[in-house]
Parts: sequence; C-alpha cells; structure tokens
Amino acid sequence: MSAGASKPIASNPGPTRVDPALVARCQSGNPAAQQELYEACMPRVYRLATRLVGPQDAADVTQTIFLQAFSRLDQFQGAARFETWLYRLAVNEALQFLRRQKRYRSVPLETEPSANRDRSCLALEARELLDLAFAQIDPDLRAIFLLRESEQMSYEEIAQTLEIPAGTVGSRLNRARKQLQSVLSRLGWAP
Amino acid sequence: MTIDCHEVERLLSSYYDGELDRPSVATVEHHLAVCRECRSELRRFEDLSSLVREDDRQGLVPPPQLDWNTFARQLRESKSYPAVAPANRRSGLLDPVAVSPRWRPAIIAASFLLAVGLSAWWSLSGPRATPGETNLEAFVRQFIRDPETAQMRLLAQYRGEPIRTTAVARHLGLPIPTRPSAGEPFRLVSLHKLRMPCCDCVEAVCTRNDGTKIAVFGHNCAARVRLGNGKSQQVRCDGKICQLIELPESRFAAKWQVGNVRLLVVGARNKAEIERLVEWLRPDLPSSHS
Ligand SMILES: [Zn+2]
Repeated sequence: MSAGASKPIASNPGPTRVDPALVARCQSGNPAAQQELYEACMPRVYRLATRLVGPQDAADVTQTIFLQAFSRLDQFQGAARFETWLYRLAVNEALQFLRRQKRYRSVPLETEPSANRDRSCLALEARELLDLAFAQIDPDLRAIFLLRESEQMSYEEIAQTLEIPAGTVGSRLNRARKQLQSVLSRLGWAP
Repeated sequence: MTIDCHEVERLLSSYYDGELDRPSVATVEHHLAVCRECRSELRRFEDLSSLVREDDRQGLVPPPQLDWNTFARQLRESKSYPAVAPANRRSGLLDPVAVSPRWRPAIIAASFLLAVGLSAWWSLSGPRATPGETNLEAFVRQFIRDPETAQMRLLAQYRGEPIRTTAVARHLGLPIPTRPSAGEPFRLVSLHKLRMPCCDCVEAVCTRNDGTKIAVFGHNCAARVRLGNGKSQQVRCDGKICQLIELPESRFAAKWQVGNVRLLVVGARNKAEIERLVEWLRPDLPSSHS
C-alpha cells in the first residue's frame, strides 16, 4: 500500500496491514522502502494524533513518532504486527505529550463551559463534535476508543498496543463509550 | 441462563465489537430481545460509531510538514544523534547526568568557557560549521510550552551530541573550585554540544526546584542568534550587562558575556531569576585549564 503523503486519508479502509518484508527492507536501510512504509502509515498515525492531541500539535507529534520509529526500527522483532508496534509508540508519545503539556500549559485543555453548550449543535460537524468530546474524556480512554473505532483493532491487538490485560479492554471501552455519550449529549448531540 | 441489565451492560462493548464467546452472545441477545433500556444503549454505541465513521469519511490532509522529503531530511539530521531514540523512554534525553551537585554550576560554566579553548577536542567529532546566523525562534516558542519535545528537535536539528561531564571535568583538572551547593536554585540535567550555523555551541538544560526547565546556551562567536520579535532591553544583573528579551507566556531570554563566551538563557520567569542564573553561572575557574 502506498498512499501519497498529501492525499486525504481514505474512508476507513480497515486496519493498515504492513507487509513484513517491507519492514525488513527498511531495517536493512533501503530508502525507497522507508518512504513506502512512511507513506503507508503516516496518514493514519497523523489522524490518530490529531484526535489524541488536537489538530495544532498533531503534525509535530506525528513527526516525533516517526523519528522515533525509524531510529528504533531495529528493535522491532517481527513477533507482533508492525502496526501494533508503531501504534504503541504513537499512543505513548501522544499521551506523554499531553502529560507534559498539561504540566506546562497555563490554560486547561477542556473547552470552557460557555454558551456553546446551550447552542444547538446541529450545525456542528462530526469533527468539531468529536474534537470537543475527545478533549473532555481521559486521554487513555480516547486512545482505546480510537484504536477500536477508527483503527478497527481487535481486543487482542488493542491489549498489545496499550500493554494492558486483554480482559480489561471491554470494560475500558464501556467506560470510554459511556463518557463520550454523556459528553456528546451535554453538547447537544442528538443523532 | 438469564442475566440482568447490569451484567449486559458489562458485556455490551464486547458483544458490540464481536469479541464475545458464542454462549454469552446468546445470553446477551436473549436479554436485548426483552429489554428496551439495553437495546437503546446498544443503539447509542452504533450512533457513536457512525459519528466516527462520518468524521473518517471527511478525510484529513496531512500538512506539508509531513511530506516524505521534509521528514527524510529531519530523519537524516537526527541520525547522528543517538539519543533521539532512547531504547527506554525513562532513560530519555533530559536525564540527570551523574555528577555531584556541587560540581554542576561550575561544570556548566566551565564547559562554556572550554568551548573557546577546546576546538581541537571538538574537531575530533567533525568540522566546524561555517559561521552564520542561528535561528532559535521555533525552539524558544516550543521550549516554553513543551521543553522535552523542543529539546529533542533542537538536538536533531543541530546534531546534538551529549558531552560527558566527566570529560569536561577531566579537561578542567579536578578539583573544581565551586560555591557551596546550599540553596542551589537549578540542577543540571543535560549537557550537549550543538553544531549551530554560527558555531559549535554548548547547551545545558537545567531544572528549577519545581522541576520546570530552562535552557542555557554558550557560544564562542559573535554571530546573531534570533529569538523572535519580543521586546528587548538592557539590564544589569549581578553586575553584568544583560540583554533581556521578552518571550511568549511571560517568559524571558537573556544574553550576557563571560570572557569570550556569550551566554544565552531561554525560559526564565523574571529578572530576579536571570540574576540568580548569572550568579550561578559565574565561572569559578582555575586560571589555566590546559
Ligand atoms: Zn437490560
């Protein structure tokens, strides 16, 4: 799979399946393979980053994620799917970014209670709604929800990516979905 | 087997995501057939999924910053700097260096001054960059909000290499005369050599007692370092003339000179803090360090 870097991200084509042979070519330092791998994975990682850290910082965070991924590529063993490895790195970096930012930010990430809440949300696009809602739930729950809903990972893959017991994925997703629903309905979301 | 709403609720995500074993699926479906509450909960899960799908469908164009060519350049620049990818996040770039606290201020100050005298030592690791202007605007902006990321990018951009404090200390010849450590306002966490366009430069990251960070640069050239368009003024700090530059989020940068070395601090909170830094970084050096 080779998507151009500037093409919009396709509508949910299911989880990326990176050819292990491509990863191996990258590990041996093949520049064309590195480009192919980057262009295959970057758009989805960028989208995940956008939803995890917000649009302003997503490009920086994505760049950091791939700088790390490429310089640690030799540590990828091939036992797990490459995507699991990459997404683990991505989620960790995004969550760490949020923690650091929380420490240094003077304004809280949450949108302030404002007239927006009472305003009819019919005009809000799906993206705005989700941005507002994601900003108000715990980043860990945001991550697990997105790995399932947007990246369509199985519970086993989610458990590996987030390094959590597989048995807890369902209950965490329950919590994520409940919290999102309640935030969205407070925002006036009426599907 | 029948189960109650509470139990169904517990299993609902697994059921919805197709991760439930067959007997449990039957049990949940049996309950859903008779319980409106749980059915509407399930419908809300579906609504949430369609909202995400709708957003996914709208597509998202990655910015040019993420084009392969731009990224590949960053990657090449970061290659010479191994700590961009520490094997273990916990042993990251801003780790404290193992050196007794009472040596730290002296070591920072000394290493800045040594930058003048140790060009032979440095040339072991590559030729000096051609003189030019260094632009730290982006670093400064990011450092104030997110020092770790800013630091990582800085090191990638200028091929930062950790300088071992022991090496600096060896060149100095211990013991280093130093002030007592009581009430020490800052703690050194990392020391790097950067190949800036203007010259090779030493950069130290220090933490305050509350864990927040400031960056100190030592240059041995007179080239301009750009820090942005903040207002600037000359002040006297600890008997030194300092140039004070306003940064975003009520932070300051300050420049002053010690011998031939130009020092630059990024992220100070106020003039008093700069004064403490100037005092802290005043070199207590032996007259000769050869
Ligand atoms: Zn029920």
